[in-house]
Amino acid sequence: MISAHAETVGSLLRPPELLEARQAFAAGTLSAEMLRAEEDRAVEAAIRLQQEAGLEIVTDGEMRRLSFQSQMTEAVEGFGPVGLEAFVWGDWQGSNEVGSWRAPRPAGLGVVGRLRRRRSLSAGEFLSFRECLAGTALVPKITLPSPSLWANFWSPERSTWVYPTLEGFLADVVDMLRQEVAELAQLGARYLQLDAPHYPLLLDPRTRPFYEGRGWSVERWLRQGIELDNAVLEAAAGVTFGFHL
Amino acid sequence: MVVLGLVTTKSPRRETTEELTARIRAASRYIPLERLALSPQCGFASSVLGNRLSPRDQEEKLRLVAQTARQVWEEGS
Repeated sequence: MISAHAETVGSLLRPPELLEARQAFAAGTLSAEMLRAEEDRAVEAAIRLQQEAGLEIVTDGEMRRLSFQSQMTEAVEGFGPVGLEAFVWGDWQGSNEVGSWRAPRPAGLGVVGRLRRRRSLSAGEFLSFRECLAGTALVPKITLPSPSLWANFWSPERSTWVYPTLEGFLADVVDMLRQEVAELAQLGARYLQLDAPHYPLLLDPRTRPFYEGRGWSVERWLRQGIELDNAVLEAAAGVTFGFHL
Repeated sequence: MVVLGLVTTKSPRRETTEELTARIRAASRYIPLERLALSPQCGFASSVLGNRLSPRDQEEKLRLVAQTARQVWEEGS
């Protein structure tokens, strides 16, 4: 049972050294071990930051991830080539304070093969995170993406030969997530979170058409989306779940 | 529990404890205070790109979340 009244959602700003190391690794001038060492340092700094701020529930800042949801596309094959632009496309008109952001949806985005779990999504993250927390009373939180968030990766043009329907694709996504929850629970994770920032987008008339364009009405999104979330939440006993909208 | 995302991660705006406390109290008219909690409204870096605020802003915001929660739920003020 988690009873704290304060926590962070998940991701934290990446240190410049980590961003440089990621670039060097992508360019082939830095080894995987060196990148890993930089990630380790970033995770330790993220823990210190949260501990010194006075938080009892902490995340690893998602320092090892490209995006909050990229642990899935890195661990599971079938999504095709997925770069940063797959996660940040959109047209957001914010206030002056927040600013605006416009990036096109990548033309080739869409699942192209049957999903197959190559490795764990976050078990590695969790184990090294827990090691960093040894000797403290801090509670580690690991975030996972809500299954219906992945509707973004199903394309009526590109995906139907492998997944004729969105439901079929999302059923496999649920299966991947259930396996992950069961594994994390077995390793001792007690606090997990599903990230579901797409639900608020269903309420916004500017972003709703994209989701309805996948073939589901808003009502169906809510009903069926929640059923899929519940299927993931029920994959292990003894785990407290956060649900981030 | 309902976790209120009352601190923006999208800009450097500095919320105050007073402002947050007032909003938590307002929420407690609908849901008992003991079932409420406080957090930022999102992550600070949904991708490696990160949001438009500094590490210092991020630190202040995390501190504000923890301090406000202590005041509201432990000290009851």
